[in-house]
Amino acid sequence: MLEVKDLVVHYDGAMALNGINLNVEDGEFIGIVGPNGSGKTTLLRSISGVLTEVEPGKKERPSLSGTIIFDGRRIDKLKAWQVTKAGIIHCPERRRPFSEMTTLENLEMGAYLRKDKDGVKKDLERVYELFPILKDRTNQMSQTLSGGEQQMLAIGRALMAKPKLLLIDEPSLGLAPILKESVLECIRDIWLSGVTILLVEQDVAITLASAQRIYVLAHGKIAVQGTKEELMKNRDVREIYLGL
Amino acid sequence: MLIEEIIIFGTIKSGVYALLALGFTLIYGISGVVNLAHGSFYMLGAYLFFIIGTLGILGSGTILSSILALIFAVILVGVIGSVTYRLTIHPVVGDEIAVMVVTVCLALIFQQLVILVFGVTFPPVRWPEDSFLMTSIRILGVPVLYSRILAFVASMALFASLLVFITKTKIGKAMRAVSQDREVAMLMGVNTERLYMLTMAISAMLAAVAGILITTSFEMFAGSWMWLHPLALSFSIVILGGMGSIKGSLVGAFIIGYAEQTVAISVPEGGQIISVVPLAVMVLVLLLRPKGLFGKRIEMEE
Ligand SMILES: Nc1ncnc2c1ncn2[C@@H]1O[C@H](COP(=O)(O)OP(=O)(O)OP(=O)(O)O)[C@@H](O)[C@H]1O
Ligand SMILES: [Mg+2]
Repeated sequence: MLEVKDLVVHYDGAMALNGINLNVEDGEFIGIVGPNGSGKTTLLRSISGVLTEVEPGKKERPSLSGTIIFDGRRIDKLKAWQVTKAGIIHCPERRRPFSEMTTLENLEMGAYLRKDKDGVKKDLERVYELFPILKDRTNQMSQTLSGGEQQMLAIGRALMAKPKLLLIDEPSLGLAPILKESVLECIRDIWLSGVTILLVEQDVAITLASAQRIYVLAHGKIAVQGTKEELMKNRDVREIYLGL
Repeated sequence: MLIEEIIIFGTIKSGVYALLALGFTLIYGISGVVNLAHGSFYMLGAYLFFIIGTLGILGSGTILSSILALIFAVILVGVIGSVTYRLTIHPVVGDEIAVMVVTVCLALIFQQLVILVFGVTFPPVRWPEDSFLMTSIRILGVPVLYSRILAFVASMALFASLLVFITKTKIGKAMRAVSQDREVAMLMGVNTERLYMLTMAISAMLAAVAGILITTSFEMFAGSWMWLHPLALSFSIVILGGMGSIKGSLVGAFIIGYAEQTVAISVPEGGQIISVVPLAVMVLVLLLRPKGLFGKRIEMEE
């Protein structure tokens, strides 16, 4: 479904990704873990196309080389909105709801490219089912939502776009352990409903518990990869990369 | 008598100024462009209204033909705004200094174009002489041209429609989304380049409407310098109200509008110096409140 080949990214001279190879099959739940600054967000931004969408007059612009293929089509030269249209939805780090919009307006923005009004209505119901708290907050400004509610909103907004592949960047960031669990539970539900998931996390434990395969990122490279069992078998990997 | 005139004409002008400033604040709030050619769209509106009226392709001499000429001129300015934006401003968006340089150049080019075509003649820009718009009624004892009442009512109606457009429609929401978080808006599928072009079209059209309404009801003639005063107005109103704030552009417009009218009526030879009033008020307010009166993004307080 998604294939990343030899992806190299420089920010203004400094290398952030150094030859990433990665593939995601249809229906998989893939996890990416790695320490701060290892390039996880950069990877997701490269896939969704926002990395290179700097305003034309800006001096510093990141450079990207390598290929990214989605459903048999090269997407690394596409604009972000075209990638979205192709079915890859990126739920950004730190949630980033549109702060001066209500919950409902945020969810509507998720469905921005969709023309099927009935489908959108159904999906709105589905998001409210998945996150009942959002229904109570329908007309509340999103900046007044709690951190957990904002994360649910961010995921709900992404779902409204009807993703084939959902990229999620650190959904557990800043949440209490119990909330982390329930957010991950929701992501598993979304996966079970047929959405392919690429989850970026710093919380190794919850990632290991959910993902079928895991890539470990360090210094802009894939250090190791494999299933939970494969990774846990190796003591060095466990201690150095997973910290377990 | 004096105070009534200030209130009546101040209100009318302020209403149109609000529309002018709304266009300026809109494109700033959404794309970050400080468009110093905003006054040029005001000027182009007035000139195209005159040209289309003179050509008579849409009929002539009736209110209907004038209104058609207005609509046509405004649409043309929208197209000009959008195309010039894409060709000259968009390539430097993100570099504030370059944007200012480019838009100042645009303003000068438009001015030269007008001089080239019209030389030293100043075309009359007004409603048909014998229409009821050129007659007046008395309000609080002051005779007021119907054209001025039209200018105010039309401006406020347009201002309100734009608010509805931005709050209720899909494209309007996308505009707010981009102004709040450009990158996430792109992640949701917004084509920002197209949205900027559309915003510039709307912004230019608002300036054009303001240009036609002010000229037909107050100035009566067009001239190649006429982009400067509206630019000073937009700039000071929007800085007063807070860059990107819609509510601020309304409040700022009324402050500047009344101030201008007060000077024009109560100071001897006041009409000669009104163009410095917006800038003077702006400086005064900024001394007291450096951030302007309101916020900095497109915001939607009711
Ligand atoms: N916009 C940017 N401009 C310059 N350098 C950047 C930019 N964004 C990220 N970097 C650099 O690229 C590297 C990778 O950053 P990235 O945000 O992808 O890491 P991350 O794995 O997501 O980290 P975290 O876990 O803290 O979110 C870091 O060294 C960072 O400083
Ligand atoms: Mg990150």
